[in-house]
Amino acid sequence: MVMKGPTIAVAIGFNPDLFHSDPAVVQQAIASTHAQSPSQLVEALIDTGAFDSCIDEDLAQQLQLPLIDRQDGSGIGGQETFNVYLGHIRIAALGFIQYGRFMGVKLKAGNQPHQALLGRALLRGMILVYDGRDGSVKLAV
Amino acid sequence: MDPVATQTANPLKTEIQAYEKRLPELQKTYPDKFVIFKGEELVGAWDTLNAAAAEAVARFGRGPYLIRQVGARPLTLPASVLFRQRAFA
Repeated sequence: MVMKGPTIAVAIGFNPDLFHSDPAVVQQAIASTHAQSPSQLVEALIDTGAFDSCIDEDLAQQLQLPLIDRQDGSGIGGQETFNVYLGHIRIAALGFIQYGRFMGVKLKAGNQPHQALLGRALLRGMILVYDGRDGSVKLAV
Repeated sequence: MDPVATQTANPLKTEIQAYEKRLPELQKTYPDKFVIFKGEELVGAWDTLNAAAAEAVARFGRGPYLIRQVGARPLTLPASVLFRQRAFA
């Protein structure tokens, strides 16, 4: 963990019923998404330094997530244009799902071991215990 | 250049240009609302991202389409990404 940082397996995808005007349909979509076996699990970094969560740009394109914006992001490295997608991130081990918009960033292309970054907006309502003595991380809803 | 090729290389260019052109009007009429643009057309305005997304997905499927909150600050890239991108550039 010292080299990779706190990492958890997540499933990323797009279920159109999660974006439905009828709350009953959304609830049913949440339940059905949880019931599915994730076809592809990817490693996500628990990134408490980030507010918004990010998805690897190549993975977002591979999954054909709906592109909803392109923005210039500001940070300590200056300005950069990146895509914004609709989708969901599911932590199967916790029975947790967040759906909404996610930034697409070049993680894999930059040799980063993760394909998603979980920011504080997603971690809201969770408990994170980081024990640097034995390199363990506990995440609970 | 072929307009289709241009759109592929720079998706949402038409929508973002239309949004920026109408931004002064949008800021007066729909402050803080989430608006949808498809092509040059303003589809509508909603209170939340998910409400706007519901309409966009129902009408246009996987898009592309622009959903943007009027007057919102740009999203901020995580510092960890910026360090990586600079390190491997």
